[in-house]
Amino acid sequence: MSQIKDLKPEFETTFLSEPKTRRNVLKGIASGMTVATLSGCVNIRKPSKKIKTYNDEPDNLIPGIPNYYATSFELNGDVDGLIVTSYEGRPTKIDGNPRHPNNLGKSNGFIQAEIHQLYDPDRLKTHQSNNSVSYYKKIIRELEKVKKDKSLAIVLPNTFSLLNNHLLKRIKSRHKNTNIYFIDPINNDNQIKTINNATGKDGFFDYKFSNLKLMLTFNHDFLGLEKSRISQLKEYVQAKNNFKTISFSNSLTVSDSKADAIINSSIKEQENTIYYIAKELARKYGASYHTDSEKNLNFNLKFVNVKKAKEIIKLLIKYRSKSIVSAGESHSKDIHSVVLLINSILNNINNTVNIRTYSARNTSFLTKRSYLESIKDLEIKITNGEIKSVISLGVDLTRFLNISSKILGKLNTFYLTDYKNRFSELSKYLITKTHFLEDWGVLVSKEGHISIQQPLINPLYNGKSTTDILLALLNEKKNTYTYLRDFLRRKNISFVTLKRFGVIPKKRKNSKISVDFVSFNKINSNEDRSPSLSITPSYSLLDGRYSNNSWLQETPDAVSKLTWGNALQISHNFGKKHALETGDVIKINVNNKTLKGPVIILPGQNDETITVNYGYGLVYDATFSKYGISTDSFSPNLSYEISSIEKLNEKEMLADTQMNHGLDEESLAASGIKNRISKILQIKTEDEINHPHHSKHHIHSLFKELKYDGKYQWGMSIDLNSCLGCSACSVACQAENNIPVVGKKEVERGREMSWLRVDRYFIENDAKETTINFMPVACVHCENAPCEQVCPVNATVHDDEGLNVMTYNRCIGTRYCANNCPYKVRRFNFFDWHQKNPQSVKKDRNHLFDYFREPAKTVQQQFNPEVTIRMRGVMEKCTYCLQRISNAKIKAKNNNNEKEIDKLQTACQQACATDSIVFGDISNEKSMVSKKRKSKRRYDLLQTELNTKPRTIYLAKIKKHVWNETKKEKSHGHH
Amino acid sequence: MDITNEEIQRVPLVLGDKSFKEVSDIIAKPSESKTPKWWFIGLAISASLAGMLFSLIGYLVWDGVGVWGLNNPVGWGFAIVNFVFWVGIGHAGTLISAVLFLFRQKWRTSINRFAEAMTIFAVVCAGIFPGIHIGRIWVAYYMFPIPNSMAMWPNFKSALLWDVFAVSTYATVSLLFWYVGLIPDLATFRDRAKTKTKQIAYGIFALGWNGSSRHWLNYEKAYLILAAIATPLVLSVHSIVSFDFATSNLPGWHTTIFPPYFVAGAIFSGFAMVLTLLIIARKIFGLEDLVTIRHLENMNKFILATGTMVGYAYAMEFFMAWYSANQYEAFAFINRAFGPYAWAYWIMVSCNVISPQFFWFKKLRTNIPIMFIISIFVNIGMWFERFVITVTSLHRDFLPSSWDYYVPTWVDIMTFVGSFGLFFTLFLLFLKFLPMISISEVKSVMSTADPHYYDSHEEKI
Repeated sequence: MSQIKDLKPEFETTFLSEPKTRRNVLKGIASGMTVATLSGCVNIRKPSKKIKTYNDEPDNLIPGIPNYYATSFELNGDVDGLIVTSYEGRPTKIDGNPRHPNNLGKSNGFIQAEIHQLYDPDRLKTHQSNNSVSYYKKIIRELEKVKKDKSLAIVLPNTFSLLNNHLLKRIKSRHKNTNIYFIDPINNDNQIKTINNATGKDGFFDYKFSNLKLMLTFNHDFLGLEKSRISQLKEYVQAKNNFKTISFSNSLTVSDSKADAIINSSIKEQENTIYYIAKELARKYGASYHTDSEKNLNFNLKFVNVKKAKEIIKLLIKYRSKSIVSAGESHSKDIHSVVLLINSILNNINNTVNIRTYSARNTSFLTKRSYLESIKDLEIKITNGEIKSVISLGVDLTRFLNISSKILGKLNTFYLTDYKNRFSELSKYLITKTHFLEDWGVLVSKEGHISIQQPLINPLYNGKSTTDILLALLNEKKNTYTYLRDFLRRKNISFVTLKRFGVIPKKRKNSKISVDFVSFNKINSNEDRSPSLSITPSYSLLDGRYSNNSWLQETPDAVSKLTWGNALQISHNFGKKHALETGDVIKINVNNKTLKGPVIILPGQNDETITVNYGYGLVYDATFSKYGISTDSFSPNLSYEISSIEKLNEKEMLADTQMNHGLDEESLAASGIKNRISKILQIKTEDEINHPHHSKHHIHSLFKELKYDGKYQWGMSIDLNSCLGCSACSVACQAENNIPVVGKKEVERGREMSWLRVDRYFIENDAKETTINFMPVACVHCENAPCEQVCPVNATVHDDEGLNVMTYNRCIGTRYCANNCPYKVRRFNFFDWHQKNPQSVKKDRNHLFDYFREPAKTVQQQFNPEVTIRMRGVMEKCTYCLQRISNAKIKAKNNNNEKEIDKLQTACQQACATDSIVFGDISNEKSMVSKKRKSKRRYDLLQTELNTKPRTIYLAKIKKHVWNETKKEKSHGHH
Repeated sequence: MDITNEEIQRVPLVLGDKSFKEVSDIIAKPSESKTPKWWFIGLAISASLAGMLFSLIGYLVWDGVGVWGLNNPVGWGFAIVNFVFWVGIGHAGTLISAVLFLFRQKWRTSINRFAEAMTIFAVVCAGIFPGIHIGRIWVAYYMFPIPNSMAMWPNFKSALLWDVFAVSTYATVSLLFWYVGLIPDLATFRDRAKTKTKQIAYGIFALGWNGSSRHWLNYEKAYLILAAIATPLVLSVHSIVSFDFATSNLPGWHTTIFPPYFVAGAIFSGFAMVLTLLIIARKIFGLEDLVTIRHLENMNKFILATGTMVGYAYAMEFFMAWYSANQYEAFAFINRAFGPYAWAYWIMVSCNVISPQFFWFKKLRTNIPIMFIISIFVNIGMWFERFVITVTSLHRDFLPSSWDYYVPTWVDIMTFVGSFGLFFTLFLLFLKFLPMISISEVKSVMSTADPHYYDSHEEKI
């Protein structure tokens, strides 16, 4: 009791604590009335919204506490296990499932942006027949009329769905004559066909990096879009220090950022080099089983850099059975065969290059045709009338087939689609397609891991899945879910396990296949040196399916740093030759077709190659799907000869987030920043790292520095040796932190909002080759933060755990902090970007002056409720995912378990496939980030210049000399 | 060497052998005679430009700071440039009236009122920009140390905060100083007024002045004290404005030379602006006898001196950039002179450093058309100086990945034009309704004020 007595009233000065005299009571009544009257004036601004309670509350649902569900997703030849965060039944974020061996909890930009795809307000909302709203049942009735027809074609993209493949097989066995086409412009047909030819089985290359000494790649973006699986990336970077990578490339890719030598060469030069190497090696080792094919190798020495090729051959011989030679899909099937031949001569097969059987491809009819063959076959059959009805399960035929829309329009088309597009205009029946988070499924990766596709939300627009249509074609009365349960029961796969863990990994690896015979056609090489057009899949839009995804549209391309559109990438010399500058519009003639668009000069681009990203232009009839050069009449991964180039008298503004300075801009900038970039990146050889020139000198501040005495001290490390510049971190950050997009015009102005940007620097290495280097930069949380000193209202301050925190509601928006930030990581809300977004909708008016807009209702559902939506006029920046830190701290405190802190991951870290980003408590000696901070490769960006003491540190990239060991020693003796 | 009395005798400050009444008549004429047509036209134009300024501010508040051309590296653009430009112009007034007053420079009497008015109006224009350039104008009061529910003070470490105090102090003191100086003249106007309204209006502001000795005594004391208070402000305001830049760590901003360099630049631009306006007013209102060539020449000398100081500062910045061996600093300055904004840099150098050099020649500095042209050049050059400092330093700083180019939008440009509209609106009203030359002070330096030549007793005739 005495304790309570000691307590003083909390609000001493209020009238409540005053003596209850008549006077005070009257005062109280009077002020109460005044307040009550005033409140009447204010409530015109307060929207009244009713919160409805659950009649029957779902289990385990606590408002504000998210639930996590396992699902999985197939993309680009890979299946990834996912875990989706869901708040009160609305999914808000997708991350990798740590149990799935293909991605081990990691993800990429596409996966991260899929959540935005789900809530896209431009999705097709109603089923339609003959351009008017219709019912699914009606359309199915129509479908039943054609399903047995010989003239029916089912068109769909490549799929790893166990269920769909099974259903297709059933359809095929029931209606023998049904044509089934897999149309997927981005594929690895050449690889598959080559393996099939050589082994008789369907397989894929599984690289083993652990014993590797040398990797030789030809236009192979094996760390980018041509990777086999996400988890492979980490295997690569972990082994990276033990081997060297030589890359032949006609346009730089993210894979080239990890290459130790980059040889800029056209496809033709690469082909001849491959022949040259193959022939030389065959001569040396004279292996028996390929003597025949060896004769077919004719190369033209004019296209071979013999000096380099000889050095490579020497290295290949030196590291026999410890090397990998690989070619990308832009090389023809024959080249793939020659590369396979090289690998088998070098005894790499089953040592470093394992060829494993395909698990998903056990349905034999699936592999019969390649993409190009399918297209050709379809074109012929449609034009000569063999095919009269088409069921397209998400494939826009107008993009891939070279058939007039008139003929396509005559077809009896059932089109399952998520957007309106050119093909939907021609289709009789439109069925809205579900997003993968809206339907059930079961997937099997090519490695054999079975995973569940679990819906997170009811279909937003009554959509139907591919499985639904296939079931309808089979007259199945069961719905997808019950059929799936039955199917799994029959296959002896535990649904409960799948649902709980998301995946049943295959324990044993798929069997290896050995190569018995490599054959290829006789190759003729011509003298022609005309420039070629190379079409590559886009890092942002892939094949165009993400064309309406504003997050991805605004994610800068890893290499060109272009957003909202692509451009014809040319080299500096090419630009000089044709008097072109970045932004000039040209028209090129290829195969009697023309391409028109702006050029961008990029270092590292081959002088005889124009590269353009696939998937741009108008893909959907939707808000954002209109930017860039459409390459729909071409196939990705192919090279075309350019017959003429014409410079038009036009200029186009390119929305790049980083100007192309570096090796070639104005000479002034180049001289000014060359030295600077080397300071920023601090690329060193292993030797230089182990024996630094001078010991670190400490800078002392003239002022009393802040003391940080919180329990935890947060810090981050970013390893540039393993960073691939893929931008997964950037998109993950966008999803986690409700970062708005600003649109093309505003990016042109330089107002992009991403908290985490990936800087790209082109520099020349010691062998005078142009290299590409990436550096993710977000707020580095300086201990001596320059931003904090200049803010006039104390809106950005430090907490005792070393976080530089932004107080949004205190910020008045002077932008002084951004000016003073040497890392330029602060982002200003110049407008209310949510209102400016063309997808925004008119808000319900709550008062007289309320003419505001708000994000589309569906888009609003994606927002992370843990993170404030910033209003216009305030500054924002990376918070180290403060909301996650707080959650971890709360959990650690409640459970009295520090493990929660160890488990804490920022969104970028969680997404990063190579674990380049590590975050944690630097005051804990045992934490991963503390260990990273002790690395010899550590450096603090701009610390020696400004004494900012950043909490984010960088680990320098290691360079290795590949050419001429003697040269290396010479430079070695220099210091 | 013998110097005759003839030679050392100063040129009289008021020409034409005028009586006190004649001086009062000349100065009171614009407000007493019929308003000329050009005044209405001028007011219409400048008032509509001022109207445009306020509608553009309305647009800005409605839509966001994004209507300007700012971007990520360049967080400050036209608004800050205009602010520093106008504050700089606002320097001449206080310098002329306070500093020259303390130094007993009698020639100041015929231009100080004019210059002070210009100061007030320039500070009004300047004050608009920092207010509207922030992202959330409606919470601009967070800058002031007033009690709030967040229980937070503003950040006293921030130069931007000092700036708020410095500029508001300067504006207050300048206004008071101007007003105190006006009181005897307002009384003159009141006494000369022919209408009741005028009498009352001037009468209110004349504060009951009746010219008694006690009034004069208090007045002189107040004026002296205010001059003493205002004098350090001349130095402090622009020093503190320069701290906005100098206390940051941006190469090109982080420079210790900034305070004196900014003050010199401010006086330079202020004098140029006074000159521009005075040359026109002198002609229109027939003030040639009160504002003589000698006055103009003196001002030109100031322009020459401060212009050369500014030129020295430009050179010294380059020297220090080289001497410091700091690659970022060196690059910032090379980039200024030869980078994408080189055009702005060379406009600045030719206007600010080269053009005032013509004033070395007496013939040129006493030639009215030439000094008018040069004063315009200086005005342009000083605007570009602020542009160069603000924008070129920001657009390329430490990490080359963030480099970008800043282009103003039409809103930027028209807001700046609109600020001239506001300035001239206020100025035209001043010309019409207030004595543009200090009647009482001018009279004190006339020979009539000293009929027995007490002030020049050495040369008794």
